[in-house]
Amino acid sequence: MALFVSGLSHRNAPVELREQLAVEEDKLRELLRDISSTNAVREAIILSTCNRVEVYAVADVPGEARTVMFRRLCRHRGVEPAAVEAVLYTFAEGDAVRHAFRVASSLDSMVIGEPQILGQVKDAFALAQSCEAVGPALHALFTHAFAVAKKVRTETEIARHAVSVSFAAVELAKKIFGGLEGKAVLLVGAGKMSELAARHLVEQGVFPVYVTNRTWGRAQEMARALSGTAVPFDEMSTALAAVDIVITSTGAPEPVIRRELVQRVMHGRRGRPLFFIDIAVPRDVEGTVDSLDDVYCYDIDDLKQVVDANIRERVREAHRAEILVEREVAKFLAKLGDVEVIPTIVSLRERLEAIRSGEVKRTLARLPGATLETREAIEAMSTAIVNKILHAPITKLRESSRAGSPRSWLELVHELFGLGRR
Amino acid sequence: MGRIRWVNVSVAAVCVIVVVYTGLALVGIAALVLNFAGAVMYLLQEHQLRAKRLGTLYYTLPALATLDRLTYRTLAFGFPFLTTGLILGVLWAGTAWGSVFTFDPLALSSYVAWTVYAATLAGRAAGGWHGRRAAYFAILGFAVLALTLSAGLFLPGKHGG
Repeated sequence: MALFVSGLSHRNAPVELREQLAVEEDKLRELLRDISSTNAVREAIILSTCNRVEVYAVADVPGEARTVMFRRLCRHRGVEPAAVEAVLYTFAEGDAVRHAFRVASSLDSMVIGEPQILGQVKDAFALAQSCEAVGPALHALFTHAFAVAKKVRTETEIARHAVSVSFAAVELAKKIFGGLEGKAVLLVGAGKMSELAARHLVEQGVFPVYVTNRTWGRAQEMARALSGTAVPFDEMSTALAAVDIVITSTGAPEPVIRRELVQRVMHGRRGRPLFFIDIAVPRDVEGTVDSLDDVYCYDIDDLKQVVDANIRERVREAHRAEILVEREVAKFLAKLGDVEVIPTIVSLRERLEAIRSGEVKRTLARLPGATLETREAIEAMSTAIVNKILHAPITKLRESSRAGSPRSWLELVHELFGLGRR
Repeated sequence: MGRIRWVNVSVAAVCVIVVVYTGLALVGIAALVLNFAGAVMYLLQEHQLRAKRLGTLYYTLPALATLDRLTYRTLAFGFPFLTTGLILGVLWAGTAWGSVFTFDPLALSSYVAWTVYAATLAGRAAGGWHGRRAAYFAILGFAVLALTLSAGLFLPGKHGG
């Protein structure tokens, strides 16, 4: 019986192939039932996202199971099996465990640390469970994988820093102002991207929202969309004095926010910082503005640099996460090994306990005059003998399972103690 | 008899002053160490945000506003302790050396430190000082304070003796 995972992902297969092979939920149920009925596979979970199609399975003959499963998958999707088999990767046993943990923890994702994958893995698990395709091995593997993913998320900063421009802007604002609760924002110009950034800010408690635009109707429209207030374009300086964050995205060929204007505005602000997020190209905020005290100005290139820095930070954190995963893989394999020997240990104990209690009963029947103390002493002595005898074989079984070769030991113990066929 | 009792009382008073002086000074110094740390962190974080080259410090240091608040609060908290400690020190000097005003270099530099902190606090409270300027002054004040303390430990003089 062997655990393995086989599939293809963004790492080795082009999107054309991935999208051909991706399976939707209804078909997935059908496919799982189909696979389960073949007897080649004992347990199976199919993970199908836009970045990967993978089968996690337990089978007696992994090679055969893999061929059967992907033949069926290809038939379902009308894909040429040869094209798929050329790029399939397969991991078995420990490597399969590691792969499952890495996928669930988003270490194998296209954008490291992205949060969706864990949900997708959980969905795949639930679906397979509802099709009764999950047995004890995959159940143990996946519940452990969810725990590992959670651990990676909380103990490393793999998902902490933004990898999109609009989220990076929000993070910068937090590094300037601390909390964003009650900070005001002004949108100059009305673009999709500035609306997105504004929405992220509002989610963090930014209020109120002002919108200004050369076209009054457009300003009103955007203000309505963001539950904000429209401000006439020539009253921009008044609004600038009142807000903390300014997002600019006009299509103007010349800067609309000049150094003199900002200098004048800053005078009345008594040191309150002003943060410009300039996502317009060409830029809306004059380049020299950010040399003013308490003024921070990030243009689109600066924000992209921040995103790059954040991605590097994620990669750094990913190294720490890999170590954590490695430790968990070892822990899981030890547990899995124990799982294999535990039934034998239990029946061994039961067998010896049956002998012990039978013999004690017989002995006590021949000693009707025995005091309570004597009876207790006989119980205690016999239990101690059994435990001492059991100690060595149980330790040996546990050790052998951790070393990965419990089979011969299991058979030996069954033979020696007459535990019957496994 | 009367004379002896006077001396006893005086010695006890000096002891109390010394203990209180040391305690207050320690609390004040602890606050001003935090004040210094906050100022340094503020400048580092400010530099990162201005240079737009974000390194490990950007990720680990708190927000600018938080650090500025920290330096203001530690100063506002530590300053009264520093002041009380200094007054008690002067009184002690009065009883110990018989003169309140002394040109001992250690005493002088502690007056300078006090003046720097007083100016920063006044600037913050009334003049709208904040951010970089307040941070520079916090560092200056701490430099003088640290000089005073290390001089007190290592230099000969009335204090050292």
